[in-house]
Parts: sequence; C-alpha cells; structure tokens
Amino acid sequence: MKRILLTPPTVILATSLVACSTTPPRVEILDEARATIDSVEALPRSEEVASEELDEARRYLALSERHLEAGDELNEVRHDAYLALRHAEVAENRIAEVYAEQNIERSKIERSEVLLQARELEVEEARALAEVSAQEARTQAQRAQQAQAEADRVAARAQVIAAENEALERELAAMEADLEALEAEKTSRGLVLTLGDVLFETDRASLMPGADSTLDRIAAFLGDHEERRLLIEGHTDSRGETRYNDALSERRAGAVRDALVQRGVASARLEALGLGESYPVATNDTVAGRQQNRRVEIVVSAQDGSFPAGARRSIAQN
Amino acid sequence: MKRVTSKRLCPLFLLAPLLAVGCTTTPDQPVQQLARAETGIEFAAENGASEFASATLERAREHLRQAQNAAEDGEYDIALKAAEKAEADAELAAAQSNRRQSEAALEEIRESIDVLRREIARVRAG
Repeated sequence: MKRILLTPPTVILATSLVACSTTPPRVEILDEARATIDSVEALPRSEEVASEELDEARRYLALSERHLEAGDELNEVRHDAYLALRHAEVAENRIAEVYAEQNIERSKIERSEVLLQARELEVEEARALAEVSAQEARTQAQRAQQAQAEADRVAARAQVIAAENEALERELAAMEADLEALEAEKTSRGLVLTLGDVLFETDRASLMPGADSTLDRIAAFLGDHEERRLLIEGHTDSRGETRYNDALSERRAGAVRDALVQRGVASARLEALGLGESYPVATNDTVAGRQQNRRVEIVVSAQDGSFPAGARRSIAQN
Repeated sequence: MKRVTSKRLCPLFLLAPLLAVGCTTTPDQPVQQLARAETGIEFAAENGASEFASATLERAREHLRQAQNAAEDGEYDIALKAAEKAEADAELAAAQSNRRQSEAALEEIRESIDVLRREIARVRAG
C-alpha cells in the first residue's frame, strides 16, 4: 500500500500559499470591535457583570470573521462587526454602571459617616457655646455678688458712721448738758468754766468744802470724755505784789489739779499754771470787780484733746 | 436624582403577538426585527436615553427609518440589517443612559460629601 507522505515543508508551503491567496482585507470596524471586546474583557469583573453582552459581542465578532475568511461581501463583515462593537459597548456601559452603583453604596456609607461627624461637631460646638454662656453667667453672678457685698459693706459702714455720729451727738449733748450744769462758757478758747474766789480760803490755795461738788462733776465729766484735757489757770486781782500774785495763782491752779487727780483723773490730762493778775475780767477798782478777777479758769480741750490756737495763755505774753 | 423606571423590563415579552403575526405574513419581510428595533427604541427612551444618550438614540432612530424605507421598497435584506443595527443602537442608548444616570447620582453624592467635609473643616478652623 502506497501512501502519500506529506513532509512538513510541503504542509507549510501549502498553508502559506492558501494564506497568501486568501489574505483578508483589513476592515476597520472589525478591528475596532476586536479591540473594544479585548478592552472590555480586561475590565475587572467583566465576565461576572456583563457575560451575556460579551457573549453576544463575541458571537457577532466570530460571524464577522467567518464572513471575512469566507470571502463574503464586506457589507456582511461590516454588519456583524457593527453589531459586535455595539454589544461590546453595551457591556462596557453595563460594567461602568455597576461600578458606579457600587461606588454609590460606598459613598452613601461615607456620607452618613461624614454627616455623623458634622452632627458631632455641631453638638460639640453647641456644648462649647453653652459652656461659654454658663461661664459668662457665672462671671455675671459673681460680679453681682461682689456688687451686692460691696453695697452691703457700704450700707454697714454708713450704719456704723450713722451710729458713731449719733453717739457723738449724744456725747456732745451730754457734755453740753454737763458743762451747762457747771456754767461753762463757750469762748474762742473753747469751753471755759470759772471757779470763783469763794471756793478758796482768803489768800490761800486751799479749796473750801463748797468746791467739792463742782470738782466731783468735773471729774465725772472727764471720766465720761476720756480724750479731753484741761487747762487750769489761776488768776488774781491787782492788789499786792505781782510775784506773790503769780505764785498764789499758780498754787490755786495746782490745788484744783491735785483735787482732780485725787478724784482719779490722770495728771497728764491736766495742765495747771498761774497767770497772776495778767488777765483781769473786771475792774480792779471796785470790791466786786476784784472779787471777779480772783478766780480759777478751766479751759476744756476739744474732743481729741487739742486746744485751739491761742487758748493757752502765759504771763510773758501780757 | 429621579431614576427612570422599568429598566429591567425585557422588551422581548412585548413582542410575542407581533412575532406570531410576523411569522404568518410574508416570510421575507423583517417584521419581527423591525418590531424589536421599535420596542428597543421605546425602552431606551423610557430609560431616559433622550436626555442621557441622545446621540445614540438618534442613531437608532435613523437606522430604524432606513429599515422602514427599505422594507417599503421591498429591500428586505437591507431592511433586516438596518433594523438589527437600530436594535443594537437602542440597547446601547439604554445602557449609556443607565450608566450616566448612575454616574450622575454618584457625582451628586460625592459633591454633597465634599460640601460636608468643607463645612466641617471650616467649623474646625473657625
């Protein structure tokens, strides 16, 4: 049995000849369809999402290629290529749509997260705002409290001052009443009360018992007004030696001072001095005038213990 | 965004009566394919293709007109091919319309997120 053996070169020659004689013309739309199908197949999840459309596209592509290989009219080739291209494009759009839908789902989740964030921020802001308001309210309350406390302090101080004034006035009234009882006189030197000659033994510095009640009242007055001080001045008439008169007036003033010290008045509050005949209050030509001139004057200091300018007298001045 | 409905409705079911009619009349006339093209175009239009894929929809209508003209002239093969093109165009128009609506919806959500993020950043900065 004789067999015809086809050597490989022969086969190659034959096929290449066939290929040459039937080399199909290039059809632009067929190339486009092929390229589009390739690119759509390369898209992620293309077979899962658009398998039917891709199958259609591939089926029309195969038909188109078969027409081309068979040497059919190019019209037929182009027609199926057109349909293949259209189906590939449908597949491409379908995949893009699914991709967009998935992203929509993801974006919705993202949006709710962002919304939550925005709401939290809003709450945070509102809380901060409330905190600021509360702080302001606290500050204002504090200020009001401070103002109230200040007002209370002022009112209390006013009350104290009013009470002090009242006490002062009462004291003044009481003092005036006291001094009035002692027949004190208001002068530019202050309140001055005069102890007459009759309270002393003639030409002597000893006080008569009749002076006791007056001295008691003066001591009591000084006990009530502890800041006040006394200027005790001895005066004489013009009869007799000046030096004698000076000495006598000084001793009489001293006697009054000692009597008050005896009654518990601190000696530091008492200043005694003899002014002799230097400051007569009446004429020395008559008996009555001379008797008026023989006296002890007691000058009462101001409330704080001071004497007005010119209150303090001296012999040398005259 | 308002989504055009009846997207997944298969146009083939609507064709059952026409298909029967097509078969009983002149076998060479592409009645069936013409009807498929028309239905496909209607379906695409219902899916918002007039707005979102107007060029492709217009191409489908042009192919349908060619098919109808050819059918009237008795050029049944040309009519069939044009009707097939019209149907494929209509399918593409519907697919493009759906895709663009989805992408527009996505864009809208992303913009709203951006607005929110900017607002948050503004509040944080202030």
